[in-house]
Amino acid sequence: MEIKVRKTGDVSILDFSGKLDTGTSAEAESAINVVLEGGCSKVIINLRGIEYVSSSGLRVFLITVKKIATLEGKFIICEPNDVVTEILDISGFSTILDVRKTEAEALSAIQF
Amino acid sequence: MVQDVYIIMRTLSVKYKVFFALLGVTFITVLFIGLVAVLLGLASIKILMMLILVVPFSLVFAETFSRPVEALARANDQLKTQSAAMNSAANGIIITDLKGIVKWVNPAFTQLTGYEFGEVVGRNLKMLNSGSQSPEFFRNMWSVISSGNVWQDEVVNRRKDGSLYTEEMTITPVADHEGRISQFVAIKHDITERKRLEQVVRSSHERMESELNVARDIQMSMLPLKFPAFPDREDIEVYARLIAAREVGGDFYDFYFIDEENFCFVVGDVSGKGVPAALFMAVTKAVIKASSTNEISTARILTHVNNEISRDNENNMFITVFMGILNTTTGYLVYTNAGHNPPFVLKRDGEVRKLPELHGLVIGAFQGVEYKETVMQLNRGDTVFAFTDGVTEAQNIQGKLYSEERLVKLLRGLAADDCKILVNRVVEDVIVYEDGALQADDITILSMHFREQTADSVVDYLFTSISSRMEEIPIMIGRFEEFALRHSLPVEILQKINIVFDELLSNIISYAYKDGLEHEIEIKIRFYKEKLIITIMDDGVPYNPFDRTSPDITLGFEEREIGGLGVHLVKLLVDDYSYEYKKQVKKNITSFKKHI
Repeated sequence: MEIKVRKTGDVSILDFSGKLDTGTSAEAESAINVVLEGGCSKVIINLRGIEYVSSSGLRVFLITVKKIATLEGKFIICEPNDVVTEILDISGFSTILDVRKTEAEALSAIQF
Repeated sequence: MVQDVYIIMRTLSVKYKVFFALLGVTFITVLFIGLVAVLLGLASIKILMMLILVVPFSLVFAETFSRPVEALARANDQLKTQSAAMNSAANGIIITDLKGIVKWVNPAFTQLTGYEFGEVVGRNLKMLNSGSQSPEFFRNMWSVISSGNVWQDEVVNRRKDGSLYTEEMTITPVADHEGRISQFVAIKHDITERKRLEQVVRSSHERMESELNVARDIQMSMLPLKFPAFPDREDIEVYARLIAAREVGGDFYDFYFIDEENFCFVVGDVSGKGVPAALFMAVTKAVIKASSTNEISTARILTHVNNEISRDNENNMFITVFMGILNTTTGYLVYTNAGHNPPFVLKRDGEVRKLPELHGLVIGAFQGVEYKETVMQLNRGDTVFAFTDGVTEAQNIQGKLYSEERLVKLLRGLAADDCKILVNRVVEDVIVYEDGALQADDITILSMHFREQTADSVVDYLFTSISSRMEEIPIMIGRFEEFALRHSLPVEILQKINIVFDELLSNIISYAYKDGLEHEIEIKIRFYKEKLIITIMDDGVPYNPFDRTSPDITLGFEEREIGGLGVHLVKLLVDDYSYEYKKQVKKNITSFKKHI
């Protein structure tokens, strides 16, 4: 997978592309850790380029949401494709994660 | 005495009878003339008459009477001898008149029937009738003997004590001096003991025959005889026949699915015939089947079978075997020919191709033989035709062989898509060829048709494997993507199946192995017209991933556990899933299906 990190104000936006699964979750986790360790607690993950997310990817999301909660920050994921949306729904993760359709939506939500 | 003369007279020839008649007439004439001369007192004539009377009479007397007396004496002697013979004969002898009234019997008759001489003479021989014979039987007997012919047959009669016995009776009509039948001589021979022995032989033969028939039934019951054998399978059709030359023989065939896709078939021919061959065949068949429960290499199976069979083979029997295993997904036919006559493949286009390879000698001869195998691509629409040499070596009355040429010629003209018709046509042709000649050897034919593609058959497949390392999962996913792209599978399907692969394979790699070593994980992807069926096989500890209860997905993130989530996703992403632990191969078999 490919990970790019952008910064908009105090918000870090991570662009994920490829597959978020067993093979890539460690990479994703460490990229998120780098951002968090850099002092940023407002994180958006843009999944536009993600083909699918397996339970390993969901685990990364769960770890991240827990960490950011302790930092009293905000964590939003956006632009999941249909399969990822389905995965988030059937796993119940759509109830514990803030999932937005677009990045703009996510950005405006994270400001408050 | 009178009776004696009478008998002597009857024994004399016609010449003497005429002579005696003339003599009588002459004597009376001369006596008459002499009497007239005495009355008239003619002395000269008296003397003359005396001379005429006495001289020839003396001459005649001397000439004639000396002979009958000699004959009489001789006949008397002969009669005594014959009478003694008849009296002491072992066979019962009876003389009856024309109506069957007994005039004389010998002592053997008494011994045979229990009736004394005095009890039977003057009575009708019918008294012995047991009622076992029909009136028609006796009518026929009377008709034969009345017309002067000798009659002979077996008769069941009744003794004085009521018991029955079987005798062989010969009745000879005897003609009197005028050539008329005047009496019958019946000779009886007790054959009760012979009949009893015949019955013993017959019943023991019947018992052996019925036991052999039972053996044959058992032998036949060991063969798959139910056709169509696999009514649920659209990819395979099979038909086979075994026509034993004797009650039990040494041929056999067998066929079965080793697993979902590997179809195994065998044709064999044991050296020799009869019960030993049948027993040897039964053992071999069982060993072959037991050896092929988790093995799809015919070379390895037969190498093992040969070692098993030849180890305790004290009778030095052996068996020729052709064994094939068809992978019904790939069409790969693996086969080993162990000293058997080569089978044929009937191609879809009508070509008849021989499979000439031999991969080792007959089974059972030597231990330690390493058998080889050949792999060929069988196309859909092709048919394998395997048989024993009872077909090609069937003989006609002239002793000429049916021959492979004739078989090939026949097969060329036959449609190969109906195995039953194919096999039966060949059997018919062999029987027509034999034309009543004794079937010398068992005839066995097995035909297997690899059917044309149907809606239910596999369009394409991907059989692959990875080693049990996490880094291999993306490799597998890459292979599947390539496969999915080739068949333009919807992206959504591709993504979901990738998730399933990721979940199941990572589970196996993480938890299945306790030895820290790398293991092979096999993956079989079968693509049908409207579905994908994927099977993952691993040799890790037995574990059913689907047993695990789904995690509570309503909990908040603080309480959320990630364990069990993957399998939960799998269950929801696929249309069907199953798990099985195959003990024979010690493998976890996890399968799932996805509609397209």
